[in-house]
Amino acid sequence: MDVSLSVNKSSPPIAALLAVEYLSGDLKVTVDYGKNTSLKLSDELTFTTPVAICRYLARLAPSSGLYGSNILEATEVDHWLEFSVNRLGKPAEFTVALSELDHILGPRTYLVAHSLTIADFCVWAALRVNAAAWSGRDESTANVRRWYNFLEAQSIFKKVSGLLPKRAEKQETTK
Amino acid sequence: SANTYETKTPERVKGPAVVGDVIHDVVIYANPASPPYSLIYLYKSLQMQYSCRTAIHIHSSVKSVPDKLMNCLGNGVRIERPKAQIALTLIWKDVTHGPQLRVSPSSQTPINGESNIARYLARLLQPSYEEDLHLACLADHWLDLASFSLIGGNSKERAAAVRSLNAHLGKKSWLVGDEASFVDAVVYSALSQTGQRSGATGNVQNWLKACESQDRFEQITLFAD
Repeated sequence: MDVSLSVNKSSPPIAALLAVEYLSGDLKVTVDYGKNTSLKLSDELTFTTPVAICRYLARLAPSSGLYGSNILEATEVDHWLEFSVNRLGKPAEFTVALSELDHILGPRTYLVAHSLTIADFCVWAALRVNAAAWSGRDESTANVRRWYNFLEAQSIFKKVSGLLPKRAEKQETTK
Repeated sequence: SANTYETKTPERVKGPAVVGDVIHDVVIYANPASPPYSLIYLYKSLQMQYSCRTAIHIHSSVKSVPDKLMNCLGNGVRIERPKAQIALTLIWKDVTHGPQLRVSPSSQTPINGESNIARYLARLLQPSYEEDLHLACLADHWLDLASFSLIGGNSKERAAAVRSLNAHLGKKSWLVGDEASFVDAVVYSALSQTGQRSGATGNVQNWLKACESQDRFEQITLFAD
């Protein structure tokens, strides 16, 4: 199945690009860089948010495990997608949400179960765009930093980071 | 009528999620200041497929809870525990960040938000709401609108969400597919909790009325008043 994703060049949907990279063996996704982020499903529905695009791509490739492997894991994934928007995405909530996240990551390698899911993509992306707000912190975010850096070192995260506009620099030409 | 859910002995349907006599324990913590009304709709749907028992408790963080909230899940279904496939426990508690779901406390992180709890319960149903990819994506579109824009959004985002609802409901009777679904109940609940039900106009108002004429909304309207 061929999928066509348009991406806002100056504010790319990081989590969606991570899903595209992760699924590159399963799905053929054409990415066009332009003004708006969108993925058209039907006349009735066009996805415009990273969360919605991630859900869709993960569902297209169920064997990838990106949406968890059972109904409870799938719902845990949904919890983190909402957390990335409603908590980490809100400046007033960010600090409290970050400390909750740090607590939960204590015994964990990934957010849900024992492998990568779109929950990791969406939460990692929310932290990346807010890096200035937390990366300098000390022990209170040790677990978040361990998890964040562990993901950042993986090839798909490296690749997507390379596609993103550099902060405080002129935008790179991405295509 | 709604009574059939209460009085008939539910047939045992073997689904992929709850099989045979294994009791599936679902615990939901909710704040009585913002009750998750969609729970009633989903509970009635579950009752049509599974034998369910319910219990409602009050946590010490909450001083008192109105009778209607204590009686909201079929007035407490008194099925003996060994005969129930799903045991649904609702605990009124002073939780923040929306209601919370716990199914397997030792292995899961708590799941927050009415939309997410609704997703879980709708995944227990047969067929699951995710059976059809297109319908699942449509459902999630409205569930995200409820949680991100109506509950989590600022006044501008709320207004935009209501406009988008109004536009859709000008063309369709229901949010997903050709009949009422739990998605309508979640959005109904989000509008109620954010005080936008009484002031609704146009297509949204007509849709709210249509919801209220549905059996599975019957108790919601009592509960929401």
